[in-house]
Amino acid sequence: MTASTLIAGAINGLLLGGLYGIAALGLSMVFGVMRLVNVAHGELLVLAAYLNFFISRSLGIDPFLATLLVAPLLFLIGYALQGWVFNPVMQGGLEPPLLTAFGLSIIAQNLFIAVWKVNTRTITTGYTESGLKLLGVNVPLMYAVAFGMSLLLILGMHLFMSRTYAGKAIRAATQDPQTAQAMGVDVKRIYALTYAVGACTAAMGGTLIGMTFSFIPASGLPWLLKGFVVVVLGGMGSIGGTLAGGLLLGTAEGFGAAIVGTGYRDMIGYLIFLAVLVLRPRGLFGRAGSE
Amino acid sequence: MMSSQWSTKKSSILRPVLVSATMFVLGLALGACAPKVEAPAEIVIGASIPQSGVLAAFGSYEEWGYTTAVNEANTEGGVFLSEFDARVPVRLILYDDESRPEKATENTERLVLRDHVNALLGSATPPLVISGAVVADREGVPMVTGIAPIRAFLGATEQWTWVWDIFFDELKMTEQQFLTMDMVESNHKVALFTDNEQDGVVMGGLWEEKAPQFGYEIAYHASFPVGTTEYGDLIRRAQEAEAEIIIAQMITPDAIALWRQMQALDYRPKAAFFEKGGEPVDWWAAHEGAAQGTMVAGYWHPAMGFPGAAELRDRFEQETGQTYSQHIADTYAAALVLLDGIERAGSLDPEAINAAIAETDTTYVVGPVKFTEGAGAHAAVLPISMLQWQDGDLEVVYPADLATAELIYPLPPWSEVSD
Amino acid sequence: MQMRWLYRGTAIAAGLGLLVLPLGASRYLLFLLYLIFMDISLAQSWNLVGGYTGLISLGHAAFFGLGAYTAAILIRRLGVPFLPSALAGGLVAAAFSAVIAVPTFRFRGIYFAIGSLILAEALRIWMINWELTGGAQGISLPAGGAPGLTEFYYIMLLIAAGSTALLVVILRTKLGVGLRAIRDNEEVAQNMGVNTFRTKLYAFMLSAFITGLTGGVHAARLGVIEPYSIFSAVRTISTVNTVIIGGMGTVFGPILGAVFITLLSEGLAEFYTFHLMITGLIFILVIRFVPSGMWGRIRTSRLVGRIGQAVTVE
Repeated sequence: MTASTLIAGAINGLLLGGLYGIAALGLSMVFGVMRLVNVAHGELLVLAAYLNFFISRSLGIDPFLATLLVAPLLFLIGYALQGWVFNPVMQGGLEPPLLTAFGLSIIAQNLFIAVWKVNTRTITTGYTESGLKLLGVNVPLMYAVAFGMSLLLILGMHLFMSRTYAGKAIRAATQDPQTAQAMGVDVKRIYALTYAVGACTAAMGGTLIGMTFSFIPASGLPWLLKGFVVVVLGGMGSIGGTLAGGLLLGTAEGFGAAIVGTGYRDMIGYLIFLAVLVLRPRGLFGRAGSE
Repeated sequence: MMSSQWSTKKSSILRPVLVSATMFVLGLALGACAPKVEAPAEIVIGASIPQSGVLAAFGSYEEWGYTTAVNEANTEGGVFLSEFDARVPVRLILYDDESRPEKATENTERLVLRDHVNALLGSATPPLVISGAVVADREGVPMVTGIAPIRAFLGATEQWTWVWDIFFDELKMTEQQFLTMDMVESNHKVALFTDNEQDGVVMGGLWEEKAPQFGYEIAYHASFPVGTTEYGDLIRRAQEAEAEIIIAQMITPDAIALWRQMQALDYRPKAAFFEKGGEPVDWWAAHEGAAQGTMVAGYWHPAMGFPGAAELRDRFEQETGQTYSQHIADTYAAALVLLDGIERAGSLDPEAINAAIAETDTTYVVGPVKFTEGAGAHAAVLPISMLQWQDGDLEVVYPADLATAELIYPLPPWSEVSD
Repeated sequence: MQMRWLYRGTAIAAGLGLLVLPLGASRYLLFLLYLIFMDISLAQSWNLVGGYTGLISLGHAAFFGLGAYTAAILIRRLGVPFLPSALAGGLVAAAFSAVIAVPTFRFRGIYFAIGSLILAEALRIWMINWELTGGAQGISLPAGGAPGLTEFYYIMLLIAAGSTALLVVILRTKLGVGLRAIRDNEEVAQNMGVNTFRTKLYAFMLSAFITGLTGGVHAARLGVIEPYSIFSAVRTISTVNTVIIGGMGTVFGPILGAVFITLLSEGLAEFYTFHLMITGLIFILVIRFVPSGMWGRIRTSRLVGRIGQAVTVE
């Protein structure tokens, strides 16, 4: 192992962190706003990957274009899920929604197996296997693309939350549901909207995952766990924090894997997660009281 | 005390004796005239296979191979059992082990305890196969399996009693890569990528051992868990080691990830062997042009000339619309070996079936099958050769007398093949 | 009073029945009951922390796996007999739980759930890579040394009955009162003088012990264990399903759940994917419409209200 391998690992990791940030965004949002631990988030990512795979193939279009079709689909599915499945159980504390999401993820995973079988899928285009040299280091093109996308998406989300009526309503409902309700905001609808927006981000996340790596019906859980690490690093509900958390995780992984070996790569994130929770339960960037 | 027709005098003893004797004789007569024991309604054969999970590709070929063999037998009315002088239809029960060894154990137990199978067929890859085989051996149910390299299979226990394996020998297989490379020029430096499961560990060790014997150097050996998605670090080290030859032993999803990342990180080996992972058509489909020239050791090719080989391939492709895999031959043959064993035994007695299987000595569609290897001779070795992906098909490139195409070397540049 | 004796009588009759069952039962039935007993043991141990203490642990697979590995290593490498090995498995799991309790009990509610899941996954990865314990290939036990199906039946029956009995006993003690107080409101319990940390710790360790012991026994039954399966979250999911569908926070609920889930699983064995979807659906429906689970529903039905009162130890 040389210094250059370490640096290469860190740079690759940093870029990959962008993808981690996007993948975790929906999870972070939904928890930040509704305190819903959406353990089915991994399945949303995988669903998006499958939909993009088939849509981009059958229409013969670039996967990023296909995302324009996948995102609305995921929006609708997310809206329906929150509206019909989650909203009725939001009152009983934090456990029922978590467990419900649990059940949902089991159903989803097996639905994927039933419909799409278990073959390994990957979204391929002319450029998905390309690479480029960044600061003298070889990096996969998709890592750089994902990084760029993450910046765009974070910016977009920030604008959405601060400039649009929907975004402001969401923030209001987060801070003080009672008052928001009193002011005429239908909190249940806001929750549904939030989940739907989260699902939308999963559309981009899933697309990137499908293009950068491969996926099978069971791919949801590993990505969910990565999402948890990112969220706890970046703080619940903080959009910028989620991106930062992703970049941090990616870099730590890239660096760490170069030192301790690829086999322990995922474990690095898990240990970070546990350490952060023990030391600073509200995450590195989260607002006080957001736990 | 009731008055009775039966007096207590001596004659009264005679009557019971007479009656008993008559009944005895009648019983014997009836017994002799009784119809022969009814033939069983069906022969039940079970298998736990990976229909889902990371090994599902193997499972799908296996399902086809087993089902096809059984259906064929049933079109003739079943297997002829001489004990009953009748053909008995065969029922095949399949359970999904989700590519998990624990589930394979559970499924096999259910097949034995609940479904009362007369015989078993194996799963795919050593962890799954051995899990089921352990149950079969313990319960005394004959099992024939394929898709388990014989050293890993034989090494799992002192000696198998009821389980039989038909597959290639890792000792031979780990020489093929070097023998193939001997046909061309290279810097003789090899980078090994092996996962840390049975196959990966066994073969990794064998390659380390054999490389120097053939004049090659293992410049870098990466070992990683199954399911690894990020290979950047390992690839960089292989690049540093300047290896021109890659030999990998990993499952298909992992292999796909590794190859894609090698492309992205601009690591251009001159030759690449992707054992296990590079064999199913999923591999070609994931990379299309970029898999051109990658190689994988194979034990079967329709052009090898074994009886019914080409027809089997055609049937598979017609029925499923998918590209064939060598595993259809191994599994189809394994099922036939089992059914033939039952027929030779002529009954459903496990001992008889087991003994009959031991005597197998026939050429099937996958080649000559005779159990010769290991303690008790429970493994049949299939000859091994080297296959190469060329334009969507696997061609035999080594040894020369079996070759169906020229070896493509070195691997074509990425720019030429990526679409 | 009479109801109590009815309950006891039924339990004794059932117990006796189960004890003599192997004399006449088919091996498949023994196999099925073994699975059910194992489910019950895992469910009751999870119930202790999840149902009665309010600690939703999604990482119990760690205890199961540790118990399995400990037993396997002792049997394989040190020649320790089967039962002591399994017990040692339980002890190792309990020790591990004590160690992680210190940092993780700080996590409130949801974080504990996620944290425990991540901890279990981290352990799984560690075991996959650790050469000392066989790495990805795991550990295989010498064939022929294992007890037969009947012995396993009895052992698992003992563990299932024992864990249920333990639960009943605990609920009558100060510990039991403390547990439920914590479940209802940890801060209030603290203010009322309950040593919340110690109470949670004891429950956690007991739960880990039972789970680890079960793992140790099951390892001997499997004959070969490897980290991917033995630490798999799939088992945790199944346990959580069992408890919640059966009835969280009751003694009889998990038993009912175990029977239901196992029978469903066996019945749909040829349609595994479908069976999981159904289980997931039932799970969601239970959470939404029948949060007290099957047993909870039966209990509150007026028809069996009086009998139910005698059975539960609320």
